[in-house]
Amino acid sequence: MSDATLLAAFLAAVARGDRTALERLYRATAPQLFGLALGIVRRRDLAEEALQETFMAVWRHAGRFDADRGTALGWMARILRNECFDLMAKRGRDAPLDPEMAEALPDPAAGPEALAQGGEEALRLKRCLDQLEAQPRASLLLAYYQGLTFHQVAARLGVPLGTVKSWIRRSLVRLKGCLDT
Amino acid sequence: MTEPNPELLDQLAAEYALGTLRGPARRRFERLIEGDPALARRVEDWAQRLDPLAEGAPAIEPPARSWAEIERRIGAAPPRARRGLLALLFGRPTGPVPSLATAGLWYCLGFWRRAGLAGAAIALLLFVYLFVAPPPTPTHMALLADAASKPVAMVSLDLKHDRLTLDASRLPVAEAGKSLELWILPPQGNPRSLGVLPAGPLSLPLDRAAAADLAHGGLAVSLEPAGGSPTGLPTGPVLYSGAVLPAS
Repeated sequence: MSDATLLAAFLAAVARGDRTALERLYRATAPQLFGLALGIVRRRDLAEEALQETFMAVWRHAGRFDADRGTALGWMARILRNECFDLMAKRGRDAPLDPEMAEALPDPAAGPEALAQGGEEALRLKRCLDQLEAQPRASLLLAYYQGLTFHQVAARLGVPLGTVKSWIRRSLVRLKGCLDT
Repeated sequence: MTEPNPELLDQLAAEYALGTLRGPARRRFERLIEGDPALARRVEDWAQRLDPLAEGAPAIEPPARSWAEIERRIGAAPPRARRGLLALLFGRPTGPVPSLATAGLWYCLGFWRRAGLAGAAIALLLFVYLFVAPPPTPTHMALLADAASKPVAMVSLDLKHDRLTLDASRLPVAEAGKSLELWILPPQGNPRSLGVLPAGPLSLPLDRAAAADLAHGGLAVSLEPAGGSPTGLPTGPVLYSGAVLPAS
């Protein structure tokens, strides 16, 4: 029984209103989701808020998760990232970063390495990501793991906006080609 | 209005899933998805491709107060209709459902998915595998059928271990504001509620009295107000029913 199927079973139990299953789901996924939220909102208080909102949404909507269409963690990560984007829109994009957080921020390039420990799908995605060139790949990962916009990625990498846009768009098309074959 | 270019739509779907579509553009796109199942499907496909990235996020332990706060907020959720422990086990979380704009689109994906595609057989198998111990050997079965005798769902009963398993995913979804409620039809006396049916698979423990009644009785599903019958007896039409029969 893989982690992914276990998480899906927890979600199925949560959908029936099982609080114990929600707690088990939390214990199993909160650290990773919190890490993802921190990468995007870069403040502990906002990351905590996003995490809590995510689990409230999971509690209310677990029945809408479909195990045939994606992983439980992936589904929760989608909710979390949306919460993060909403929070940032609400608080203003320039909310000051927690200086300690900026230090502790993980290197987005580490993401795909960690994928090697994941399930079959993760490994497949890692192989496809590995086929991209370094900078386009970094742009895409910065967008996902740090929630950066095209503008912010361009500023971070010190390249023109148009370049970043075409890197990311081309990378997405190549990923699709690689994953869908 | 001209048809939007499919390549552009796919690009937008990808950017939505990746997260680079933001602000008013993101909200406009969400409104577009709401009215366009094909576009929603595109977004879902993209999200699925990118989902495994979540596994690459670093694990950072959140503070203990995070869980405490979630527990507190769940405890403060509006109470559900309580009709004994079983109803509680069955109870669907209630409370306001956030609008698409505030909740993000992801929550409603099941909606258009449910419309066409057959559902959660795999989840049922999984759930049974995980939570039914020892492995279930149904001692009894019941085939729920509609008024025209068309079968709609199979119920497995393990009356040695007092457990009922049902995949409700092929039952028609109750109309808005209504719930489907499952009842024991004992050999004598009134129907007894087993609670409101969830949309997907269900595995629940039975008490001894329920198991004894089921061995010689039947099961029925009625249409009730949202949350289940307010009286403890069926108030709406009985849509499906079936006798419980020995499995072998």
